[in-house]
Amino acid sequence: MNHQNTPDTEYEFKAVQGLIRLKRFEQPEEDFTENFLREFHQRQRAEMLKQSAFSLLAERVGTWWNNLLVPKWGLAAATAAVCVMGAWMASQNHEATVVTSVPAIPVIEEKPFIPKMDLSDLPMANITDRGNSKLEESLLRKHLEMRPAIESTVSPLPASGTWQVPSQQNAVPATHNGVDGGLGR
Amino acid sequence: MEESSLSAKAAPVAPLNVPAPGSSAAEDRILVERAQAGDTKAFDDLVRKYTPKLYGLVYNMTSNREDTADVLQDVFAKAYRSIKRFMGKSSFYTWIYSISVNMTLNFLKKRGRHHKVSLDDVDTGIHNDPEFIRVTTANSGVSREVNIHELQKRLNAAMMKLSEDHRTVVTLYDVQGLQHAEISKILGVSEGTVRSRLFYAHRLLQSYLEDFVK
Repeated sequence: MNHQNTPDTEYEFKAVQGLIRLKRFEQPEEDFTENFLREFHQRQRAEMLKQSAFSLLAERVGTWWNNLLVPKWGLAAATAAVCVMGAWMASQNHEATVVTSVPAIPVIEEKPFIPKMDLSDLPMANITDRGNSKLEESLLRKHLEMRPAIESTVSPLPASGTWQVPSQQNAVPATHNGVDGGLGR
Repeated sequence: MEESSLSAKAAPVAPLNVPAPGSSAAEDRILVERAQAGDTKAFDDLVRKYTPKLYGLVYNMTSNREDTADVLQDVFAKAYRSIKRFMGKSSFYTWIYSISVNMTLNFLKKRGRHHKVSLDDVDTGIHNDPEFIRVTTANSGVSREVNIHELQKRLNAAMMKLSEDHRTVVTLYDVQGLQHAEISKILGVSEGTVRSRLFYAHRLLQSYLEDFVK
């Protein structure tokens, strides 16, 4: 920024300054200051009367505090410590309240779908149970019941021309060795 | 034209009332210490001492006498409430001027820019000031009353055309007679900023008052 002026400009600047400086003659009247001071005192008194009860209480507490003989800083530190502890405890309680007040989100436990079946109904369910004589008997009975139907599709009637009622004596196992080679024994 | 008789060409500029820094500052310090200790008379003395100076500052920024008195009441009320917190890092003079400038600028913001300067706002008291009359009517053979009144109106109008920042530096420098360094402390800006604002303010005033300066 160039503040360098030509002689004419500088002269005009000084002329402007001279005019503006005339404004310093605009001073208040002679009794203005005393009247102003009187009004200032009145306003101060009015302000004091308008002071709230709280500010008066605060002022009195301040005065009492200043006149207190106990070590002020120690008491102030103790008060501050109590306040900090109280605030900390309050914040802890508040946090706990916040945690419990949050509505519980329902936990959906997804279980695998297992159809309910009574596996004991399956004929081979207990096939591994080799010592089960009832199973062996039921399997044999079923076999014997189904054998004629199977044999009719496979082989002609026997030479006698009649079917013998199946019994344990004439039963011939379809597989001589059976499931585990033990059938028909 | 009659106004040309008011040209500053022939008007000697009277010495500025620059505050004496030495004894005045020491005197202020004593009064402040007494006021801080609860001596209300000491604060009254500070009010008496600074009211005329601050009146010039606030009046030239507001161009209204009633507003000036109201702002000054608020300024001294604030100073009274804060006097115990005044640490003496700056002079009381700088401190009270800073409060005055800030409160006046706040007042002007509240009042808004729609305020018009009326003829009633012109200070008629100075019409009888012999020094003012001597300066303004030097080399004049025309009606003194008309010229002085007209000059005051034009000066006030020109000042009110300036922005608040420019008006503040012009008031502090040209009217109050403070130095750039003091103004920068009061306003909290650099001296370069003060000089720059002054330069532009003078240029604007020159265009507003060209009838008087040509």
